[in-house]
Amino acid sequence: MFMTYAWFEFLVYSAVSLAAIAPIILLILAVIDWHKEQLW
Amino acid sequence: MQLFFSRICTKIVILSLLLGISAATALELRPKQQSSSEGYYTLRWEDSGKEITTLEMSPSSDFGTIETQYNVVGMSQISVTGYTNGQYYFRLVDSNGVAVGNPASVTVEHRSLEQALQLFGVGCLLFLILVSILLFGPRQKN
Amino acid sequence: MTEVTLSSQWALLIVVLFGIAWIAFGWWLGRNNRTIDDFMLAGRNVGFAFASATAMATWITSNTTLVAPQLTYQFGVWGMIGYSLAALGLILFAPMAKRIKALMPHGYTCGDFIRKRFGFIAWLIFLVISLCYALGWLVSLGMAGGILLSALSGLNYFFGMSAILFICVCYTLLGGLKAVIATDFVQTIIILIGVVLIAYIGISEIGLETIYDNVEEKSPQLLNLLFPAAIMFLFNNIFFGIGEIFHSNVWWSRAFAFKENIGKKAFLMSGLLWLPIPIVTGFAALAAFSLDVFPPSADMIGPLIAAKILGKVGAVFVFIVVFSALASSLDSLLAATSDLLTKDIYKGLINKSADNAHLFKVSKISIVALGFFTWLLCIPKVATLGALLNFTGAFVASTIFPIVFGLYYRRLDGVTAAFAMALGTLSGLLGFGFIGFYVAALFSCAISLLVCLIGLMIKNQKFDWQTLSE
Repeated sequence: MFMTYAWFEFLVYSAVSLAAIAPIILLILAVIDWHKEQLW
Repeated sequence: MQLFFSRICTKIVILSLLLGISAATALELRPKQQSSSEGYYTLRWEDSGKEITTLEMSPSSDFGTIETQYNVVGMSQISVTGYTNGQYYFRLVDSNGVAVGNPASVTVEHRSLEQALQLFGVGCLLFLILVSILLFGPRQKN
Repeated sequence: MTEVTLSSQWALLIVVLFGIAWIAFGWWLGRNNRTIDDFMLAGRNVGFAFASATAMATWITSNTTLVAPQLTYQFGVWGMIGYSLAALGLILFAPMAKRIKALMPHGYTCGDFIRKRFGFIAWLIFLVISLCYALGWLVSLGMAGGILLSALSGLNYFFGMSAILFICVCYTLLGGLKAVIATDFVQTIIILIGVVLIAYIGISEIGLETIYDNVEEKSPQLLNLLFPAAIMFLFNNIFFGIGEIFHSNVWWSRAFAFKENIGKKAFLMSGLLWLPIPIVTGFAALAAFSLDVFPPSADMIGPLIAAKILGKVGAVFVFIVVFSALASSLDSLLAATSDLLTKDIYKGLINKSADNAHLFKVSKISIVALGFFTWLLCIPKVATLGALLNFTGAFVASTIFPIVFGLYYRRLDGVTAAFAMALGTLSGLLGFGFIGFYVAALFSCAISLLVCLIGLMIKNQKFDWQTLSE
């Protein structure tokens, strides 16, 4: 049973796109917290 | 694993030095024989001044057919991976295409799939127990 | 790795600039630290964004950038999937963080919990496990710092190792957990942008299809989903990760430090954001077969491939990412372990009557002492010390069930917990010796569960939860 290219592609691309969104999410959350003065 | 392995290798080196089989004259590909249960392993050799360029792998001890050639210019050790069950032979080749030193053999025999799946099952079970405690565990309040 | 990719002047410049920036930032954040709660637990009021980022950054260590490619190289696709499932540690800690904060609103360390819940003997065993692990992790980070910085640039091992330890000790000392958390936030952003960029360049330079085709042709075993050792590794790695997180004060101190009702959300978020990272850093290892480069030792495959794909400009990115990944874990570990030394060893064993102002000083001294001790252990560059972390899977996985049962069930008593940790560790070590590193945590966890279940059957302690909140 071997991993097919389709699955491999799906795995890598979804991982890379999730990782690409992550810093944006974190920055947005930080701005919201900062706005509400709830960073700390 | 790697720790144990490197210890064994050091022992082999010390042993060979004690027995006087030092690699003073011929280039030595070490270890001469090893086995792997995971399909990855390391081969080492001394930089003897001979210009080693390639490590060749063949499924037969007479190197009739060369299946893989690893480019090892400037290296004295290589970690290879992805081997299936079987017996593999390795030798070093210099820039003129001449084989130097001894051949080394590696036996790859993967762990049994059955055993692996049993452990997988145990892992699954433990994981389910853990998750169910965390999700449905009793919540006694203070 | 034989070739140096980044000139030592550049590397030095980066280290000095980042060093100054982090230390100044640490000083700025710590200027209002008045009490021990401010210093150790950032005032117990950390918000969602910082909380998520710090948990995530701490879990991205040099290991995520080094070991994920190594495991992919050795175990193939299961290697990177298995490694990414270490995120389950963070995800499962989420409900626990909430429980911990509710049970112990005034707690400081995980040692506090074990002592109050299970008594002296279990606490001692736990401390041994926890300190062995912390030291193993600290030394492996310090050494990885030296080795990586020297592999990526012309800087020598001693300088790289000393520099990273010095910088982390300085800003942790000046700013306490606040500095750790705020630098973690910035480091997370840097790391994420870096790894995505590296992966993107890798894919566009070589092509994902080429990578796959070459592996399929030359080494199909790495795409084999029925690869026995890799299947064994899968759950082992999950339990190693869970054990690391559940027992370690690095994570407990965060559970205490996060604002009310933030812990659960933050750990869940950090786990989900962390999940793809090992795949992003790991898949490139499979490019070895396309590029025809093979590493002298498996742990160098990541930097080797990165250097090959990216060349000199890319080496700057790799250097910064690795430097940030190292610092974000090292600072947390320094802070959390010094809390353990201050609260558990000093206050628990040496000076029981110490007040908080006194402990504040002790806590600063122990950060310096810990940094210095780690530095001493890192100087000889003994490779076996770096491999110490592999052993600790057997130790930490034995604490999972005692801690979980201890948090949720009144029945489990201290003697059982102590036995569970001791016997679990022992069987994990036996598994490590006879089969391989990829079963140690699983064996350890299974045996400790068994001991806990036996204990729960024969004994029934009616523990009073109130004891914990005092």
